[in-house]
Amino acid sequence: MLGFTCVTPIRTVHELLDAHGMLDLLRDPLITTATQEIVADKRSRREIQRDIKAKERAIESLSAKYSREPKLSQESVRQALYSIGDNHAFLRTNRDPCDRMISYLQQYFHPTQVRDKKSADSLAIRSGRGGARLSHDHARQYAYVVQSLALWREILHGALPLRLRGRRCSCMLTFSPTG
Amino acid sequence: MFVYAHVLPDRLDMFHLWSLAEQDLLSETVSYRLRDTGQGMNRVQAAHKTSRMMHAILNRTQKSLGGWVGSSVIHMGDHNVPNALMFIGKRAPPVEMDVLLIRSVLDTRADKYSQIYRILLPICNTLLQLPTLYGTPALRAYIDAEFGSLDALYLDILGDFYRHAFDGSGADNFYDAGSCIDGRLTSAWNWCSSLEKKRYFHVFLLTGASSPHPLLHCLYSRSLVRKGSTDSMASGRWS
Repeated sequence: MLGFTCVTPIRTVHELLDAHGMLDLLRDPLITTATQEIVADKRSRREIQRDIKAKERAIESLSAKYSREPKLSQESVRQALYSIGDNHAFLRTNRDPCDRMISYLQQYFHPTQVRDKKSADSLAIRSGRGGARLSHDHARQYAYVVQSLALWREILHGALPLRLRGRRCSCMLTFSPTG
Repeated sequence: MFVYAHVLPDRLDMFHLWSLAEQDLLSETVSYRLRDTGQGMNRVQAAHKTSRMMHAILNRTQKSLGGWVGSSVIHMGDHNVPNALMFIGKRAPPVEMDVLLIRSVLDTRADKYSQIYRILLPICNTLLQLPTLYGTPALRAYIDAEFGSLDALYLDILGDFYRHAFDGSGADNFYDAGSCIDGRLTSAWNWCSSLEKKRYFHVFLLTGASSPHPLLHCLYSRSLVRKGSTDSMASGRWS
């Protein structure tokens, strides 16, 4: 209708490097340093500064090594490296909270038993109570939460690490999917 | 892209989903229709690639866990549709909006799932800061008096989250929310929007002070609007 298309393909790092025969960049040992995320945690300013310097140096050295002016500018290679770094940062903010919430669940609650005298560690919900729309006993709710978090995790970044997959509860096998 | 539908790579991530959602949106074979969906004219379009991928991921999760509780329905193209383009923006939708989001046929599921951290990250931040908070004598006294102990506080917050962020609430009928795949996210959003009414909300305010998060900040401001300036703790911080 318009006589032209507004759609252009997405440019990816892989395509850019492939077009210039520079895919080796992705296998270069320095790439880890060049694209790693620098996490503050509880480290000293000096340590963090040292990591930042190392990362900057790695980016400079890689972009110099793999650029081919004028076809593939050093700036383009830098941009590709930043792009990979952004990916790491995205995954960390998105995926890690899922893992952490699964860990908390495993730490504070038992898959099948309510151990607290006042049932403070019971996850049971009853439809109509506290706004709930489902009725689950403790074990069923535990399984329901684990699998929901596991699914989110899987959507965000592939399968759960083994350490979080550990306590598979046998009770889950007995539940048939319901509406 | 057919590869993803049959053989899932070991590690896949949101970028695949985004890419598939975009291909579905821009598909030249599956066109969209303009339809009055009850919320005005909207663009209705099936999202086959994204749908297939979501089912494959779900299938794999189910296998790795060895069982499944609740519904495994992924709503896709089975409802009235709002204008999904407005959801492609990165802002966090309010709960009412999220219900509409579920109905989005023009698939923005990838974007929906990119909101997960907005729900979980602030909770994680608060939980991680609790021991530091407990180290301050005055706050230690407050937590002991109000919740009993630090562990009891953890149990209080976590228990409430695991119960009510996954309780099927948040949608306008049972079929929509319930336990279906998208409904789970809706319940989690619903839990966030009721955070300000919880007994432990002050603890969130206290930990939020050192690292205000967009979501919590938005909740704080909402609570200010609702409560007026009666809540001295909140108004002191955010006024």
